[in-house]
Amino acid sequence: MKKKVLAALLCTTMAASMLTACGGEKKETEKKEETKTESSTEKKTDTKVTEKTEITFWHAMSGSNEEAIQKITDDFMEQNENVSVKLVNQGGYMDLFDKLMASAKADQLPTMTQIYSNRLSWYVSKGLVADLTPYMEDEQTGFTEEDLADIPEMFLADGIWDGKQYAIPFNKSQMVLYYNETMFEEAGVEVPKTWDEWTAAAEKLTVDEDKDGEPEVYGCVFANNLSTDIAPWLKQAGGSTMNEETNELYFDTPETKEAIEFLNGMFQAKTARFAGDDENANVPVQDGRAAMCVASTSALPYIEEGTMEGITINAAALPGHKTDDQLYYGTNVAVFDSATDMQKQAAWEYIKFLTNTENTAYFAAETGYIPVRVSAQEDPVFAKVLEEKPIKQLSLECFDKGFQGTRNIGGKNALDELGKQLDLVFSGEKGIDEALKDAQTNGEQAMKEAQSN
Amino acid sequence: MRKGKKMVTVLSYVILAAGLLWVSLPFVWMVLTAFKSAKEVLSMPPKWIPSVWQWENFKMALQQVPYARYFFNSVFTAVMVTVGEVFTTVLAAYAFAYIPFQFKNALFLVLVATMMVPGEILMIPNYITLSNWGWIDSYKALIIPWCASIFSIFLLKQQFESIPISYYKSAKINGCSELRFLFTILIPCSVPTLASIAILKFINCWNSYMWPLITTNSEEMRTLPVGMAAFSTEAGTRYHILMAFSILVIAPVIILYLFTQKYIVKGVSKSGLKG
Repeated sequence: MKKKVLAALLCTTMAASMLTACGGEKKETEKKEETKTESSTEKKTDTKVTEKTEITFWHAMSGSNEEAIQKITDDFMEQNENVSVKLVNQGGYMDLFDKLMASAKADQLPTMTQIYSNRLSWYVSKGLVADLTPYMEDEQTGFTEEDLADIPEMFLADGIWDGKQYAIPFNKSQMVLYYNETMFEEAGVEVPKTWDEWTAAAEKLTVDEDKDGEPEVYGCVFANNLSTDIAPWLKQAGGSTMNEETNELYFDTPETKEAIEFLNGMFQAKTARFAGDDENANVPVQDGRAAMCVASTSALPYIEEGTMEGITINAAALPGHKTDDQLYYGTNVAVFDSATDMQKQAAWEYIKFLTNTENTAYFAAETGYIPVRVSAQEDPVFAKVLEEKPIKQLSLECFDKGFQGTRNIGGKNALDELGKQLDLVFSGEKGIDEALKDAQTNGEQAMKEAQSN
Repeated sequence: MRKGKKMVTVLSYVILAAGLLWVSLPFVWMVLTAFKSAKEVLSMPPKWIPSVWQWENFKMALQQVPYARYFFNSVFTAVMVTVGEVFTTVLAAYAFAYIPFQFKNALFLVLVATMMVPGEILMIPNYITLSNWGWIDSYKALIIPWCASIFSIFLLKQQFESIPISYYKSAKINGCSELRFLFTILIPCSVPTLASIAILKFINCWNSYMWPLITTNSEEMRTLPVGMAAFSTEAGTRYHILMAFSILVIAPVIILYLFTQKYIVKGVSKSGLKG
């Protein structure tokens, strides 16, 4: 008998510890039901932070990026004694998004977070995000007309759903064409401005001395996740990736085909390749194994720090085709509806501080990101940086041609399906027509599945 | 004959030396990279020896991450988890191996079946459970969920069952209690298996990244692998600083191993059974 009690006790303890994972399901279902109804604040109640308030800001910034946010945050807390901002680094972007999802399911969301709009869409659809419009429009603590005019429209639009501002632009960057200036000069090649010039430049700058079919120097290198950011080529060909209103995918269209034919031409001619084991497309340009690459301006600090002696790297806007659209990406900051009214007010004031001219200029000066206000150019700190690093000027000059990616729920999943097909095309295993047809079918399926979760 | 034996010895040494070189290459690369400048890390053709030894890389690594705190957390959680798991494993494996009770086999099958569920799927439900219990951002979250492992129970149960039942019977005839039999006879006979379980658990826990990141929010609770993420962003990685930090992460474990090597080897090689 004693033995049986002992055995039962030991095993029950084990079983209980193994099965804890199943807990919490019921609560989650209940929560889902609750969040289906729109719960965003329509009217804000507090216009001032009158009592000690702590807000938590989850971000994915590390190194000099994190140091810059910390400095701005310390300045804010010094000026706003009632507000305590707890910065929490949650690893890389993917770690942050995984943790946000887990926290949303556990009803444990932070006050505010850094997030891509195509990720925020899901939270907005579940009513988990605070509508910042009343805070923006507040006469005492909101944005002025000048503030609104100062922020590029595409950045503000990236945070608007159904006419409500759910997110404010924070760290933005642009997709640019980096090139090895020395190689261009030596080969007598002009920086390409059109697709045709780009193809020709890549061909001229590719070097395969031993003629083994594996060039020692590639004309151009693309990021491994090309499909995620394929939008600029589709737009420049007169098309787009998908319709944000209807969720219709445009993978199997003449415009997409034209864009893929252009990119595939370089891959098949072996004048272009993916970053592969180099991980970042700028790495082979930094050590002379490629003449050009397509990468984000956020890579600039790494390029400045790690480029080999004797190589000068410059950047230009992406060469255009039928249009000259330029892709801007990067995250916004959003406040969750689970925060108290006082926390929301504090978070708004912090966001306003974080993105004011002086601080967006400081953040852009210290990191690879670009300012989210046009007036940052006049800031003395950033003006000096612009003089020293003319590449930074490029992003400001291209604002009027800029656009940001679509934000459909499941859009990323659909683009991943397109990516799988493009890999087959670029490796020469599949024809473009068949691949795009399959990408369309698989992409629609993937999007539907993601939307039903 | 003697010449042939010598040849075999020489050949063995050559093969072993080649193997050693092969497995230690990434380690050597890590150590040398930790002393290079950012420009030298990516240089092509690769430059093995740094032109100027950059000791500042270590300084920069320590400036970015609160090493002492993260190190304490890593050691504390890894030791506690290892002790906890060995304890629960010994008790559960004994119950499954020696104590007859109702539905024993069925329960064991259910537990073994949980091994088929990938850990990633359990991440969010586990987070929700711990969150409901208010355990997030505490040592409880870092330690307790990992203090039991079906794989270890399975392994130790098999080991316990390989020991002749006559030991158990003669111990019982001599009036030995269940727990005394377990601690004075079974455990000393199973030291190699227990050592394997403990070493595997310690290494897994020391390297764990996702779980400590998910369940902690404050710097005071984070562990060394989480700290390593500070040197990489989506735009690039500072390999020279990352490698300097990696040395700081693994150095204590290597030093610990060097000092305790003979005990570990002794423990592992100690055989329980004699003819």
